[in-house]
Amino acid sequence: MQSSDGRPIYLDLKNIKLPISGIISIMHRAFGIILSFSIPVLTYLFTLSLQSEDGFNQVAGMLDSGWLFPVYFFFIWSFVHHLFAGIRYLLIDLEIGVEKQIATKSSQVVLVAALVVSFLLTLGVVL
Amino acid sequence: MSGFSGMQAWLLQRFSAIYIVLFAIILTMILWGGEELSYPTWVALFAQPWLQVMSSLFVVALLFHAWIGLRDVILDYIKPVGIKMLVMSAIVFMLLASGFWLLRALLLVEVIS
Repeated sequence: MQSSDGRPIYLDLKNIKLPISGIISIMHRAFGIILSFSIPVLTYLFTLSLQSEDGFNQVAGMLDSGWLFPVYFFFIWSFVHHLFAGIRYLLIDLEIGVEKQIATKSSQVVLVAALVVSFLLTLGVVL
Repeated sequence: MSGFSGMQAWLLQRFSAIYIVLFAIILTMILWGGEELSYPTWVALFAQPWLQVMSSLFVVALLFHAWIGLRDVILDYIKPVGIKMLVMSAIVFMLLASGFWLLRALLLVEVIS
């Protein structure tokens, strides 16, 4: 494949080995998209909850189901990962942690810390 | 075409991010620290003028943040102009509709309570 100015582009997805900073970057994007599309859903739940006592109870009932744990976890994980990776990018904007070794380390910290914090937060919400 | 110059978008993305996080932390602390939620306490919470203002600002910050982020993704992956415009329009509609609906609910709380 070639770009418009004639330089070759190599995009064999099976042969590209993405470094961990690339992985958390793609996750940052994917979770950002998911969070964006959760806006209408959360809008619906929030407006319904404020509308009337009935609406409030309806939303409370919807959110109370035990099987929602994975949904809560996935949503909270999306937010926390997006946030932690975002903080990493803000630091990189300030030229903190640009060196390869530190960038790799901070990527690992983002990935693991986001998972741990999300799990704890989900427990806090559910329990 | 995409609404903001590169520098404006870049700055807005970062400032909106900071506001979104601060608001999320404040709201989480209020909800976690408070008593068991019921409809009257829920309405009374959002009827407070300071939280109404902060929530409305949050909605605006969230819309800008989501729009700039999705716009970047669209510009990266969707090349045909027609499809690009179609997807962008759909997303603007989704975000604006959600935003106005949220602001409407926030402003009507006063009437309900």
